[in-house]
Amino acid sequence: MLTLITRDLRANFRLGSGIWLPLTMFLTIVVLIPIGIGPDIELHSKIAPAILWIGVVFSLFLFLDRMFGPDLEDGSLDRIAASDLPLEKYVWSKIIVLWISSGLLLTILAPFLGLLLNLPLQVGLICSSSIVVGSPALAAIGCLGGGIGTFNRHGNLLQTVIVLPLSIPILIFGTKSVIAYSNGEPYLPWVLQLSGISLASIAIFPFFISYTLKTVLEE
Amino acid sequence: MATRFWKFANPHHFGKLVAASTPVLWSFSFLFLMTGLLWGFFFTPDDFRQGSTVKIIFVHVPSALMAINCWLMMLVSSIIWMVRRHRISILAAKAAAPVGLSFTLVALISGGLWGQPMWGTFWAWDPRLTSFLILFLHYITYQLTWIYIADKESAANISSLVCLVGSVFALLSRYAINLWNQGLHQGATLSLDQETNIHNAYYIPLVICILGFVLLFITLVLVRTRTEIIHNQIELLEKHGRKHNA
Repeated sequence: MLTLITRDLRANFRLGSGIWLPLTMFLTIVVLIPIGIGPDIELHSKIAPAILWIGVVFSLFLFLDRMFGPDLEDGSLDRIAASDLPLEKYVWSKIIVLWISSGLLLTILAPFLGLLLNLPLQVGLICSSSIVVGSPALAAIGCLGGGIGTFNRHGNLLQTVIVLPLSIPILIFGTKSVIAYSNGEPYLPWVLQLSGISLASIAIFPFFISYTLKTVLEE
Repeated sequence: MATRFWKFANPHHFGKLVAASTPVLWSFSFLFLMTGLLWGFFFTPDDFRQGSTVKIIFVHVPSALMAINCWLMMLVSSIIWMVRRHRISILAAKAAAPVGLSFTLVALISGGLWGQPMWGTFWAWDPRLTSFLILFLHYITYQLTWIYIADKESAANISSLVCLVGSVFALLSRYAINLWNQGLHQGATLSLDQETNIHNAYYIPLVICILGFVLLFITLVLVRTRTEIIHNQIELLEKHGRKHNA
């Protein structure tokens, strides 16, 4: 399993597209929204957590189409399904890879982009702590999208559209924790609930995703 | 009893049952809906504060109720499909989705029409309203899986998965949204154990309307399921015919 993780990570980092696309997407979203709003600094700092979180959601979810595709086309998915390794573990490694190669990097970038939005660095760090806690759940949901995307032969963004509504509770808890912190309220309960969702998601979603992959393999 | 119920997992038996029961179901749902709506619109007094806009309740409450119940029904039939692989079950879920989608839309729009004179706005980001909007999104994504996944078997599997995961996350959103914002929407008015229930003058026509909506839902789903089954049979026959010709 470790081999799978390192293989995918190496491929992502070497290709560049694996890590640069989400990062660029994140940067672009964070730049575009303030430009659309206009130079109202007060408003920017007020909606900064929402912008950062929505940026994370979109930059994680827009590049799901090639997640299982290569493995399916060159037949390695069939080999893995036939081998001793449970499909769930393979899927789990994919979730970890997606999380490291986008969620974690976006977390590191978030407080600095927060500065662009007039978000104090301390609040930005709280924001990135909520992102680091919440993005495993997003990665799990994203992998489900990747699994659904394998059915997609029209080249549309079906998988993204289908999994986007699932991100709503995570978005709520994530932004709420940052807003609670900047209002001086306790923010830890929100982060803890978010981590609960994340832990439950990375435990349960591999079964859902391997169900989709089994369906693909039967087709 | 249980074995008698599963007998209708056979498409043939199911089709016969539906064909026999549709005229009765249609007439009963028509009867109940007409009675409830006419009574509700013309023979109830105006509310002393809300005036005649209170009468939107006769459309709004039943459709909201059925929107949620329809999702529950889809969830149950998706789970039956995943566990027992009864084709009718998943076809019923597929048939119910557009019906539930329409109910959700009716509830949202009628609520907005009521909210404009009462709250002064068509839309507020109130917990109930927001969770209904989220339910609407989940209905749409469920529908999309059926539209875009070409292979029938895969579409059945994926849509039931989407329904299952969607239910969990819709509940989670409901919980999150309750913490997120205080609401404008009133609490339950039809519960059996509360003092603040609706007045009797509205109660009886409202119950009749709800029964009418339930019957309408059952009728529509049964008819649409039968249509789906017939569609499937036609497709199978066509495939068979093509194989013979080739």
